[in-house]
Amino acid sequence: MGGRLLLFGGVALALILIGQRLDFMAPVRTQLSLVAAPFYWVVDVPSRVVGQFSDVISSRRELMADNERLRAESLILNAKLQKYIELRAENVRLRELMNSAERLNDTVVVAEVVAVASDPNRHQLVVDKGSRDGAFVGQPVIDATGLLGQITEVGLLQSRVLLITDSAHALPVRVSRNGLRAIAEGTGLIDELALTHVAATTDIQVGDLLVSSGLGGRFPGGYPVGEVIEVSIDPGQPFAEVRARPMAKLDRSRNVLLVFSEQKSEE
Amino acid sequence: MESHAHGLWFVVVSLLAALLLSISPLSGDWAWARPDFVLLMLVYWLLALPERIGVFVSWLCGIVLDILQGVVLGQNAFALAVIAYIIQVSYQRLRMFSLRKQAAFISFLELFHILVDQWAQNINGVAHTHWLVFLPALSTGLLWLFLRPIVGWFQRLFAVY
Repeated sequence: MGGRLLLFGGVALALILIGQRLDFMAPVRTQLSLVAAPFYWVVDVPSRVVGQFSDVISSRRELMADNERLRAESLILNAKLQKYIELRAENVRLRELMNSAERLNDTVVVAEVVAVASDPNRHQLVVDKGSRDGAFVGQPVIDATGLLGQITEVGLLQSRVLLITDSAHALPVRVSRNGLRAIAEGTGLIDELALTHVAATTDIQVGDLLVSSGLGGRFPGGYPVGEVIEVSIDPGQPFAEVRARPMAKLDRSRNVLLVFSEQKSEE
Repeated sequence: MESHAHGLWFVVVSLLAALLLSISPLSGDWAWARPDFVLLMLVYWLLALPERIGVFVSWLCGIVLDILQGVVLGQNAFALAVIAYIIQVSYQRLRMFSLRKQAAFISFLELFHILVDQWAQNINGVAHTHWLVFLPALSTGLLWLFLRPIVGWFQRLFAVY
C-alpha cells in the first residue's frame, strides 16, 4: 500500500516538477490528448442534439427572417468588399512605392469549439481541429469580430486554445488611431484586458481600438483585439491604468477561425 | 482479485461518468462551485471495495483528469493517489463515521486536492488564484450527503462487490 503510494505518487510528483520544462513532454502530451477526444465527443452530445433538434423544429417564418437578415448582411458585406478590393489595390501600390514587402492574405480554417475549460480560472477552449488539419502550437485563433487567442496544445484531432483574457496570456498591440504600442495582458476576467506599462502622459483615450501589432512574431498584425473602456491616471503612479474590452466574443463563439499566415519568404 | 468479483463494470461506468461530469460545461458562476465528482466517486469505491480500488485506480483517474482538463500533468494524479492512501489506511474508521462526519472529512480531502492543484500550477507558472477556487471543498462535501445513499442503492441493485 505504502509502496504503491511511493511509486505512483512519486511518478506524479516527478511529472508535476518536470511540467513543460523538458522538450520531450510536448509530444507525449500530444499523444495523451487522444484519450480526451472520446470524452469531449460524449460531453458535446447534448449541445449537438439540441442544435439538430432546433434545426428541425425552427419554423418557416424564422427561417425566412433568417434568410432575409443574411441577404441584407451579404449585400452590405459585398458593398464593403468592393471598397476593400479598391483599398487593397491601393495598399499594394503604396507598399510598392515604399519598397516594403507585400503582406499576403491570411488563409483561415473554420473550427468548432467542442469544450471550454471546466475550471473558470482558466480561459481555454478545445476546438475540433488538430495536427491532422495542420494546426500547430502558437497558431493564432480569431472569430468573426476579433482576435481570440492562440493554440497551446495540439492533439491529432483536437487542440487547446488559450484565450487572450487568460491571466497567463499577453500580446503586443497597437492603438489603431496613433500607432502607440502596448502589451495587452489577460486579467482572468472574460471581458477585460489590461494594458501594462502605459506611461501616464500617453495619448490614449476611451474608445480607442487596439489591434494586434504583429511584433513578437506570433500574431499577424492588424487584427482587432479590444476597445479601451477605461483610462485612469493617478498622478502618484508612473503608469496609467488602462482597461480594454476584447472585441472577440470570447465566451460566445461556437465557430472560430484558425489563421494560417503566409509569411512572405525571403527571396 | 482472488475472490470472485461481481458487477465491477458499474465501478468503471461510475468513474467514467464522474470524469465526464468534471468536464461537462457549466454556465457562468456555477462553474466555480463544481463539485469534485471524481474524488467523490473514488472515495465511495475506496470505502466500499478497499481490496479492489486503491492507489493505482485513483492515480489513473487523476492522470485522465489531468489530460481532460489540460492542466499540469500529474497534479490530479498526485493528489488523488495521496487521498487514496489516506483512505486505505483509515477506511475501517471512516466507515463508522456518520454521513455528516464523512462529508466534513471529504471537504478536507478536497481542500488538500485544491491546494495541490494550486501549488502544481504555481510552480509551472499558470495559476491565477481567486478565493472562489476553494468553493468546491464545500460543494463536494455537501454532495456526499446525497451521493452516498444514491450510489449505495445502485451498488445493491447491481450487486457490486
